[in-house]
Amino acid sequence: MNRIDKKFAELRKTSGKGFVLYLTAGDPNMSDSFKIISQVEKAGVDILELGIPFSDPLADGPTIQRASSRSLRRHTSVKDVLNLVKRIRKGKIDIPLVLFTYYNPVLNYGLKRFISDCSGSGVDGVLILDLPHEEAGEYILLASKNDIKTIFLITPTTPENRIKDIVKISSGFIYCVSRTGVTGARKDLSGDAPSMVKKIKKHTKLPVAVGFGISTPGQVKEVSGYCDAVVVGSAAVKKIEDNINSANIGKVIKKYIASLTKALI
Amino acid sequence: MNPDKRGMFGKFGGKFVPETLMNALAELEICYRKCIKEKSFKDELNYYLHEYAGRPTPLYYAERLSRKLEHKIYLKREDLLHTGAHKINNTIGQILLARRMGKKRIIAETGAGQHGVATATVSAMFGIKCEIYMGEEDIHRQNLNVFRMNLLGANVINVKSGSRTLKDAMNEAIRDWVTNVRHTHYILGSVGGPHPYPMIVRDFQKIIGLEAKSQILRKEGRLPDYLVACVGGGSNSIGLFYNFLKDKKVKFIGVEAGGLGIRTGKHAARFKGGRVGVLHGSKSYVLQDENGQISTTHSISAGLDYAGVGPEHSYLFEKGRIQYDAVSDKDAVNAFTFLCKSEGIIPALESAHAVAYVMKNRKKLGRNKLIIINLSGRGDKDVQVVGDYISQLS
Ligand SMILES: Cc1ncc(COP(=O)(O)O)c(C=O)c1O
Repeated sequence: MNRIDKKFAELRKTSGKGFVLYLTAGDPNMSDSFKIISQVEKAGVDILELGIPFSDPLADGPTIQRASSRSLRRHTSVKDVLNLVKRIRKGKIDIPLVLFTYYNPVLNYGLKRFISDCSGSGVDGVLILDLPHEEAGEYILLASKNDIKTIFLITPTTPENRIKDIVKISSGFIYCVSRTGVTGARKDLSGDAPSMVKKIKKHTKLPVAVGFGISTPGQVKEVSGYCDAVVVGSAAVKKIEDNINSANIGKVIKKYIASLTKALI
Repeated sequence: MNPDKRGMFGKFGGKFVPETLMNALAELEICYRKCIKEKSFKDELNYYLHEYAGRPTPLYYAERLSRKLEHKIYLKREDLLHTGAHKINNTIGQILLARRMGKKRIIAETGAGQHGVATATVSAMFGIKCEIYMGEEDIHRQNLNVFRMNLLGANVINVKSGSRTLKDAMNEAIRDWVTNVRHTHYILGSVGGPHPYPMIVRDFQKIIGLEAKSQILRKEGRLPDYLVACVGGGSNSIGLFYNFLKDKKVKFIGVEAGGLGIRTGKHAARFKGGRVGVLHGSKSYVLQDENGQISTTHSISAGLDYAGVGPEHSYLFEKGRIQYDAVSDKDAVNAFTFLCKSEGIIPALESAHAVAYVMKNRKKLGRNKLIIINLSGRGDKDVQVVGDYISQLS
């Protein structure tokens, strides 16, 4: 069974909520990136989204833009990220892993080769931000053959007929973006989110994760009240940025993330 | 040719954007398809093109240039339009669409600043709030246009990410649109970006070729042998070429920015150094490194300094219908100064690339050919850059 499905099945049994963490692979460098990742499961993270950095991340706010630049300064490539995943699996870390990226690096690597190497490296799911379902035919076919889950976004501007189309080709979970805008921490969460989750659930049995802008334990608690999993990205990436020169960056980040995962209801 | 339902010209184009924008693109396409059928929309568009922008533009016989190059050369004078470039053809069209969609705010990206000025201008005319994204590097080299945009009431936002040029301004404009899509219309400035923009912008620009065709037939009684235009995103070139594409004997040359030379890597010649990729919402030729990261480009001309190109150009390139070549900074500056002295016309550095191509290749083109060069804009904005370039040489 795919690790994502297995994780949500476990959560369902205990009526627990999931915590999804986003980190940019290779930020601030590969060895620290690995150190941090080694700690996240112990900090209570259920699913890890690893960003493959892209030079022009047009759906990301300043925090993740800077993380991508830091990683790209060391020329992190698709291949490097797949090698990182292999290293994680070799280290007996069994956390469900989703690769999160833009289409051009994947297209350049070769879609078929990418999906097959994902599967060979121990990746469980993929989310390509600028690949809407209309363009995703071949990708979905290849992914399902290789047991890679295809995660798509649903946003406040997605009309109901699109929601129906998107849930049909989604697997693993649905990523509900709680407001229009790029990634990044916000003080106020959008009021749209609870009703969006309800609307999505009318059309699918897949778990729904909510993200974009969640940064405090209070928000984690609030959001986990109405969905299956909470996604935190920029806030954690910012914490890495703030502790970039710390000798025990892995432990610092672990402690911070634990304070967030504890807030799940 | 019109793109298919997914917005593809063959294997190029499409809508590779974050989900948040998909509905806005659908809405824009529906509005556009409805409007172009309506007489009231067409009348309004024509009214502003003629009374406000100054269409039709002359097709001017460049006598001294012709004599020197031993061809018969006409210049399509888009530089004489209000605001000084072809960009206003598109911004008038799009602001009328934005009004019909009830959008309260306009955003745009700009490289040379010509599209920014044209957007700020129509926003001022209709009293709509306008914000323009411009890379820091371009703000320095096209400072005159920044001043103009400010005078026109637009807010120019200084983009400091990446290479600080057009590509990065476009990233920021898209991020803004993703955030404010419900009440904001994004006036994209060229034939790139996600569907339906490549189709819409081309349709608003094809007036250039429509006029040029009847003008050349009237003046010469025949079709031209060559049409030549510079290619940044590709709007002035496709605008001139489009109505001739079915005329089998007419040849087309798109001129890209060769910068410091293709071998140096410091250029923006997508069809020389690029590969198929996805940038800013469409699949097309893109300058990128071996890992699929977008390259930083170089050109003396800010309007051509871009890593991507409109998808219809990639389609026509692969079909062999348009031939693409590149011209260096140095040759463009030479053509710039030559046109000033020989014709009394100060061209935009972008347009100077098209002139330079004909100057460099006059023998290759044959003998005594009938050629139309698109003079896409005027060069007031560039005099400082050219001055600096020349004084550096001496
Ligand atoms: C005068 C002029 N010509 C050409 C261009 C290049 O754009 P396009 O290829 O879309 O015509 C620009 C862009 O800023 C411009 O200002």
